Order: sequence, then C-alpha cells, then structure tokens
Amino acid sequence: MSRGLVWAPAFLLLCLGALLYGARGAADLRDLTALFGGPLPGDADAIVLVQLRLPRLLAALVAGGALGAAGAIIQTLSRNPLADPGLLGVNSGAAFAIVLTFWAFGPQPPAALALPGLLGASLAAGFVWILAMRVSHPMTLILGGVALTAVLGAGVRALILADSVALDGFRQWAVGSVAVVEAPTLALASAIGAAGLCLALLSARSLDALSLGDDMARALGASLIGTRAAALAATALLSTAAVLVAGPLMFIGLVAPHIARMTGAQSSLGLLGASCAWGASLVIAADLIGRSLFPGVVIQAGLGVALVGGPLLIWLVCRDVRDGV
Amino acid sequence: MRHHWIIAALIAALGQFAAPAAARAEAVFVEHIWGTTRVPEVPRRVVSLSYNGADNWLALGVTPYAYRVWYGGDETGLWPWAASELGAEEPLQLRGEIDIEAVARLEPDLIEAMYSGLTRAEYRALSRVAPVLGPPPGRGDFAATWTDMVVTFGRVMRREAAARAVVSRIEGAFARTRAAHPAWQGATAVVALPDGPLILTGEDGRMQVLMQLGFTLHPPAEALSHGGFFYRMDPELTAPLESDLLMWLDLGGGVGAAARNPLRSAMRSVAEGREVVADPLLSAALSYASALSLSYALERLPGMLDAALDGDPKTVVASALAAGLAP
Repeated sequence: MSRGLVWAPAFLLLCLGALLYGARGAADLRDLTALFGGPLPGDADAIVLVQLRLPRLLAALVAGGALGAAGAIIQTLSRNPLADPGLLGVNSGAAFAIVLTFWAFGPQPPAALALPGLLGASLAAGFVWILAMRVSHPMTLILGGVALTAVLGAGVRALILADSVALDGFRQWAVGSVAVVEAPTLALASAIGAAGLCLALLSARSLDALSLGDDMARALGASLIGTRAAALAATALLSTAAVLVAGPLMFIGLVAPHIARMTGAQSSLGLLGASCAWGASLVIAADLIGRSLFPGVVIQAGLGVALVGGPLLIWLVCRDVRDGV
Repeated sequence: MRHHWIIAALIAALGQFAAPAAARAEAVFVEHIWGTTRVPEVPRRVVSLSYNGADNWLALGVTPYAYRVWYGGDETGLWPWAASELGAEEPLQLRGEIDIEAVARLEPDLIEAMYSGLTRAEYRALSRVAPVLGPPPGRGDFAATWTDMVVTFGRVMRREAAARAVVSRIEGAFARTRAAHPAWQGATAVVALPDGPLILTGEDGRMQVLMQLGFTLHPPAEALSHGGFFYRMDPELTAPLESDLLMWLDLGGGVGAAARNPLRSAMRSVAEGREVVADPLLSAALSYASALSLSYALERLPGMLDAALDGDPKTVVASALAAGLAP
C-alpha cells in the first residue's frame, strides 16, 4: 500500500483538473470555495462547478472505483488474469433487466432503473454462482458467465428490435457516459457501491486463502462457498453501481487490477484498494480526455477509457518485460 | 418469292408480339445510390420497406400491399394522419428488421426502400425478387425527403400528375405559412431531445422542417456538429440552446431532463419564454416528415411557435407549460 500512496498526489491533481476544466472553459479557483460550503456565487460558472462537474467527478469515481474493485475480486476468485466483471454476465443481467423495464413500462428516469438493474445483476450473479457451486472449477465461473452474457445479449437485441421505445431508452443508457448524472442516481449508486465495497473488504482475507487453491483454502479454514457467495454478491453490487451512473463500461474491470499489480499491490486487500483507485483514476482521466478531444460534445466514456487505459497498460507491460519481471 | 413470303409472315408474326407491348406502359428507370432500377410495368403489388413509406404512398392514393411499421401508431402501426387514409383496407404490416425471405414470399412486383436503411447486399438479394427503389443518389441512407419519395412513386405508378398535385399542395402550404410569418424568417432555431441533451443537426428532417419555414440553424449549435443527424451536447454548455426558438421533442418519455437542467435559470431562451415542446403526436409528425404528417404538423406549428417567438416571457407558451417547462 505504501508504494501505492506515491500516486495519491497525482490522483488529487486529476480530481482537481476534472473540477476546474470543462467545456465551458477553466473554472475560477475562487468558485471552489462553493464546494466547501462557502457563499455560492449565483453565476452560471459556479452552478457548473457544483451541480455539473462535481457530480460528474463523483460519478466517474463511483463507476471507476466500483469496476476496478469488481475486476480485482473476479480475477482473484476465478484465478484468471483476463477476467472482467463484464464476463460474469453481471453487466448483461443489469442491461437485460433495464431494457425489459423500458419495454414493459416505457421510458424511465435513470434513478428508476436502479432496482431492475440490481435485480438483473443479482440474478445473473446467482445463476453463475449456482453453476460454479455444482462444478468447483474456476473456469466454470467464467464459462458460465460468458454463456449467460451471450444469451442475455441476444435477449437485449430481441427486445430492442421488437420495440423502438425500448430501443430509444436503451440507446440513451448504452452510451456509457458520466457526463449527466442526477443526484438521486448518484446517491443510490454510491450506496450500492459502498455496500459492495464493504462486502469485498470483508471477504478479502478469505479470497487470499482461496487464491492458493481450494485445498489450501480449506486447510486455512476459509469457507469456500461462503467466500465465493460473498465475492459474487460484492461483484453484483459493484457492477450495478457502475452501470447506474455510467452505463455499460468495459475494460476498466480488466485493466485496473493489472495496473494495480504492476504498481506494487500484492495482498487481496491491497489489490482491492489499488484497483479501486486505478479504476477511478482511469474513468476520471478518460472523461477529461474526452472533454478535451471533443470540446462541447459528449463521447462514449468507453472511447476515452480505451485511449487512456490501453497505452498505460502497454507501457506497464513493456516496462515489466524490459525489467525482466 | 417464297422467301419474301416467309419474311413477310415473320414480320407480321413479330408485329403480333410487339403490338401488346407497345400498348403497355413504357418501362420507367429510377436512379438510386446503388445504380438504376428498371420498373417495366405499373406495379400492382408494392411492398414498402421505408419507415415512413406507407404515409407517402397513401398521400399519392396508393395503398401498399405491405408496409414497414416504424414506431407507435394505432393497431395499423400508423399514426392518425395515415391511418385515416387506409379506409377499409388492411395491408400487411412488416415489423422489425428487413426479412428478405418474408419479403420474397409476398411476391411483390415493386419493393420500395427509399428510407429504410437497406444495405447494398440486401438490395442485391431483393433485386432478384422484384425491382427495388433505393435511396436517392448522392446522399445518405436516410436523406430521402417526402418530395423525393412522392415524385418517384408518381413516376413508377405512372401517376406523375397526381404526384405533382401532392407536392404543390404541401409546398403551397409551406409557402403560405412562411409568408404569414415574416418574424420566422432568419430567426435561429434548435431542435433537441431532452435526454443528453441531443441536438439535431441540419441533416435531420425535423430541423429541416423548421428551416423550410424560414428558420436558420442556431450558429453555436451548428458549430459543434461534426456530421450525422445529432450530437450529444456537453451539459455545461448553454449557448447552443440559447436560440430564438428552442424546440424540445417529447418522443413519449416527457421532457423532465430539460426541466432539471441546473443551468436553465441562466439561459436566455428560458428567460424569454422561447421554448416549445412538441408532444409525442407532433414529434411523430415531424419525425415521419411525410406528405401526410407534415400537413398535420403545419396545422399545429404556427400557434405554438408564435407564442414562443415574441420573446416576451409573459406570453404563455401552452406547450411548454403543459410539459412542465414554464419559465
């Protein structure tokens, strides 16, 4: 962890940058006092800072942090360095439930999607968990998740083909952006994400044991079923939190744990914290890059994520190869 | 001499074949983005794959054998302006993506796909079934206007005069509306969807309706456009929405997102009551942008736009008030 703290000032600078810089131009540093309960200047720039950039930063923080943590759990649990929360069918479960909601009830405000999203994610996680219970092999988790993702993806496509209102709602949601997030959605997602993170932190020690293999874990006194259930539940909660504020975001869950490991995280607990921080940094940086490259318009956050995360991962891989790690 | 007799008989025989052909209509050639399609005879079984195809065929007085359903509408899959033109007829409805085999089973003698998103591969496959009308040449997949469609339909049905009558009736209505509203000429306008918000560009048919009525696309909104029909505006900006006329389209989900914009209080278009909301029916009329739906839109628009364009917040803009957007 101590090595990871080297990055803390950079993270704070990134957050400050996200607050100060945007489509409207640079903010006045004095307006920042409004964030700390100072007198709120009534002008548009202050409104932008407090009611648009701050929620946008928090949304990126929640989405990125949640996905990073979910990725760390899934990679540890499945002992597969290529695992991504998206592969578990959890995102597709949320997506399917959300499209089903559009289809059945017409267009919905974002906050109303929390419950169906959580339900879909939980059902998907539960399904994969039951599969993994029956066949105790780490690959079962991934294969079951991949199969479920394919089936649910087909379901989403079928529904949006059958109904254009569902299509419209889905299109809005599927952009995957933190640019517009309303307070109720942000609050709900933060709560769900915090619950997921707590559960993840509680199961981190058992996950360490589990990563040594089932037999070793049993010998160390860890409950296999309990740990897997807690870890999957945490993943479902974290994925739902991310999906609520940012729509479907790929790559973060995969790449954040790798960057965390390459920058020194080792134990499950350390990996969880560092992945969380790296995931958040990546989404914040991606949003900033998107704002700078295409000023005035909002692009898919996934594009910025790939632009930032891809080169960073390549650089870390090259560095490790060069250093003979 | 015997040879001459045989040749004469042959010529006579050929004439027998040629005569009925001459009595039939001459083939019509229609150019489109994939080439030229020959329509040999007057089609009797038209399958329309355009999203707004039924509207424009019905405007010409032709009922397609089958038509594509876009969105909403009643049990016919059409909106009131078109459903009322169907009368007692019940054409087949095509829903979802284009199914080549299903279209082939209908045994059409014309497949119309001028506003359908048909791909080149689908065009090739369908051309083996019947002559296919693709989007007009030199423009995009969804660039065909109602005029393009009605005029082309008139040609292939050999009903040019009827098509000209439809075109001049609607263009006349546009011209009269323009003439009656000098204040609209040159005024700036923006059409937007509240979630995002998504700003429609000058490529979009709904913005084009306002342009045909004399409005110009608000320059700050145009400046952010990079091609395509719309873009998602950064929520920090207000300038692209501060036009003389700001029209929100309610496609069925309300305009709550526009009402919750924290920067509303800082927007000129809000302070001066320049917002209007097209309810789902009017939004559909503008989206279909057909010969039938635009007649309906032209009845609704003037009163609505005038209330917003006076720049006086005291003038109640009924549509904005009803949608919860009153200043």
